[in-house]
Amino acid sequence: MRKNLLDEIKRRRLIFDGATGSVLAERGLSAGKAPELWCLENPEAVIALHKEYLRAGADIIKTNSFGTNPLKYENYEELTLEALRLANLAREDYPDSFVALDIGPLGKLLSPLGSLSFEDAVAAFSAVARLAEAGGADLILIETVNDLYEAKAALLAAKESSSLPVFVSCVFDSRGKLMTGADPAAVVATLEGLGADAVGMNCSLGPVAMARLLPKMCAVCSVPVFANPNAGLPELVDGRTKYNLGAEDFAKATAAMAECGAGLLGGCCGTTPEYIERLARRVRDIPYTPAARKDIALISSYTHAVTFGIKEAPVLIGERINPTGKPKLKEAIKSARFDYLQAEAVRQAECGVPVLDVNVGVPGVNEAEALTLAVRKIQEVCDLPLQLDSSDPEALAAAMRVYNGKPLVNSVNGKRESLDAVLPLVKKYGGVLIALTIDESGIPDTAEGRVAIAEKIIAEAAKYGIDKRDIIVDPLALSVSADSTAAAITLESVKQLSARGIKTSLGVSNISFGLPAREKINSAFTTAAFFSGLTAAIINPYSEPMLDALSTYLAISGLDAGCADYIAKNSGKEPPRVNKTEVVSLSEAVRLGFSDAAVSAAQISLAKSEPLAVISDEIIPALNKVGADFEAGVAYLPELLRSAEAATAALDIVKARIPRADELGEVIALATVRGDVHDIGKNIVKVLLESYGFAVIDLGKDTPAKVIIEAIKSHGCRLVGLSALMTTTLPAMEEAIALIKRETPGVLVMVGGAVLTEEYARKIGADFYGRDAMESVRIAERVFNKQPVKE
Amino acid sequence: MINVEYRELDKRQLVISDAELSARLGKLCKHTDPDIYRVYEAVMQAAEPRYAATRVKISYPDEGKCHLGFAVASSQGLVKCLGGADSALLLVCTLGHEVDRLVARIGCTSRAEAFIFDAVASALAEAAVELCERELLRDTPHAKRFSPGYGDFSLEHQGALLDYLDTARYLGVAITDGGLMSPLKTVSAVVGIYDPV
Repeated sequence: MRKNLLDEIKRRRLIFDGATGSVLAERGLSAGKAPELWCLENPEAVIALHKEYLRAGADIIKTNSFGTNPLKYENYEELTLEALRLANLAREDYPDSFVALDIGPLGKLLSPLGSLSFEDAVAAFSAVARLAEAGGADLILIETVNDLYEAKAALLAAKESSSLPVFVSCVFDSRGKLMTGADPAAVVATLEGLGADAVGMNCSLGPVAMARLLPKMCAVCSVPVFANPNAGLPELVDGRTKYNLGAEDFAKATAAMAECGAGLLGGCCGTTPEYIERLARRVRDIPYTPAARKDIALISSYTHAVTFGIKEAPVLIGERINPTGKPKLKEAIKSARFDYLQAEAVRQAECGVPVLDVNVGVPGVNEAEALTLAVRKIQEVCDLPLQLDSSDPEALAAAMRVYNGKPLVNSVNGKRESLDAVLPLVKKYGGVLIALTIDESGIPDTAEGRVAIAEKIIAEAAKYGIDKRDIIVDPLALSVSADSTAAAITLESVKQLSARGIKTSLGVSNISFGLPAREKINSAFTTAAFFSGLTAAIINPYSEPMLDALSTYLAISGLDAGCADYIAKNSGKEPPRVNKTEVVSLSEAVRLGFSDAAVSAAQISLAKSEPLAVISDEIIPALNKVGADFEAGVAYLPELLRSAEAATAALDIVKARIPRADELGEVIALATVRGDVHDIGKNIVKVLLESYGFAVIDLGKDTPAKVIIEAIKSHGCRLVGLSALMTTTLPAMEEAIALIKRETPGVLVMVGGAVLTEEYARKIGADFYGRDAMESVRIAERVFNKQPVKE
Repeated sequence: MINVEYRELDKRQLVISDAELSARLGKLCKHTDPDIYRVYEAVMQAAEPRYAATRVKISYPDEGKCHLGFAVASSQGLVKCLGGADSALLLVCTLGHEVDRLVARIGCTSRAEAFIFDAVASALAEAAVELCERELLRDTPHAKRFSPGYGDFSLEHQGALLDYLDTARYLGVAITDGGLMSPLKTVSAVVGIYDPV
């Protein structure tokens, strides 16, 4: 009867085997040939190596299947099953040993860094993982992953395809991060949240460097941690790769990691059975302590983690990506203009908040699709951890699946329906969960009533295996304008929950709903809540008083040692950098590219002139001057763009008073064609066209032709701009033009990009060739019969 | 497995070319100009330059063709550039993903700024590959570098070169479906060497 691996890890330290590829290369595997192919071509060599590792003292042997996956091999099933068969043959004389199905990275980058979609990656990993149990594996080992998103895809696939334990090991570089930026805490938060049975690191580093990094993982990880370092650093000696640590030095340095908490140890590139034998001998007598629960609540993005704790500094959560009371944001969500959300995310991040709330609930919008896209788009440009905020469990499920990291999940409440829908999601995808103190009876009007609901939710969550540490209770801030006792009840709830070791969060702005000068009430309430023990607050990060509420609390409570941060923030402060807001005319503000001044000047101009006159007499001539300077080589592109941005800022003020360009039918679709990811040129054209008052639908980069057609039809575009920067993508441009002409006759096409000429543009059927960004404006003005540009 | 060197570059050794920067910005400038220097500092902070390199024996099986170890390239331009070398350095050098993210992030709030950031990052990527050449080919006579996508050296060879050097695993560099390298600020090159392997 084979031993249970997870029970065995609780009893003793286990030893992994060492390298496969580098050893087989020494034994005749030709340069450039993948080791996994020897499962079919030279199985005896593979079995022999497994047996050597087992004889050396390895408890776990990895199948020779590191590079086997459906993206690389059509016969991946045959290769995987054969690798499992050989490993099982080898271990027949070692009944207490374990066979790990070894799954390496797919060799492609996941979107948005590469072209492989998350679900395609999950499918590829699933195809291999589902062979594990039938093939005789005791566990699945996902290793050598240098991207957190790929690690998530692999782990999810393994958990969905198999009931075996799953260990995940990532590659950290000398900075202590994965290649795509995740630090050890982000890796642990994400993978432990997804249910990894052990988390580790392998490859890239030798044992000395790995030993410096491992404690950071051990400090936050509640499941076993393992390390499989290389045999030191690689060097090219006479054209061959050699590693600089001998077996004894490797064993000594690797065994040291047993002392700092590694529950499993082994080797990677450059190691051999001799290395493993010496390691096994060294660690035999080192006392073993199984992994212990860490009382730390972590959420993470794809780069770093944020900690929530009752004794820690409270965490601020930026609330601005929420359509309630924000018509522009609502409109952006409805028209799928997620660049607006991206800009909002980046601006909030610049204010210094460590977490952002994302809520895209708008009537008539498919919230699951919208929240998924919002998460993807925001994570393209912002590496802050996110709070996924929705009352729709389907939207939460969709977003949690694609989220890169471990999210904050807002929310569950005490109603049976909510508990049954949301708790399984957190169990499956991981997350720290906000629990609202509402149940079928409504919101209790006492602190005790709210605490009771909180404890009920925590007890229910425990049935799913969700640890209390991963639950933050929101006892709800209701407006004092409706109930003068509301603040007191909430603050008392926070106190009582904190006393029970339960973390808390509040949407503090709610306290002042319906009152004037809301910021004053909000900041006072927030400070009081911090002193009551509040762990997290959802706030407006653009509000200095709200940010000050935290910094003053930290200084007074002693959490800001020596008031250092408070002093840095408040003394010798330079006046905030503004675009000169001294009085300048609108023309000058646009010409000089001062956006803030342009906004102020536009408001002044509107007091004196009609909106259309402000545009035609002040904004457009200023833009034209800069455009002419640009064409004459007097101004360069950034100056043109700054002017365009200032003009756009002014236009936003003026356009509020006139019919919208899209209502006037002046809608232009822009896209970089399929296969091309260069979008700087297209983005420049977009800025200029918008500054001249056109409505632009930006379809992004690598855009299939049918997406362009759908946009033309749904937005009524009369002009389409296509860009390409690579000769290899010109056929896609020609194909898009042909489809546009066929499916939407009458729509005109302008093209641009470094690889194009006027002659080629005509040849592929374009109506116009934009030799530069300014030309696109002239074309648009001709198409929409506007006043031609004055030189 | 082939023998490939994977190393991180010391970014303090990067020397940005003001001529390269001026060409990309479309205006004569220096990286020390105040407006540009703050961008330069931000890009330098985000940059994590590293490379993968290996030396291979090369041969010329036919007129205008060159066997590079990982593929046979039909390219008059490449053959001319190699100048009869019988070995070559295959090189992929990247600034890393954080620079791409920085440019994308800046672009959310200002296209003007993103344009400058992108230009500085491109110039820095060139500086990184120059540093690679200095480190790897110090006193070795060698040809100018030639990259897939130059002239008639097909961009289709880029994916094969990356696979050969296993850059996805060791460098975090992969090819997109559109044939571009990710991270964007990555340079791949073939450099003819006039010393025997």
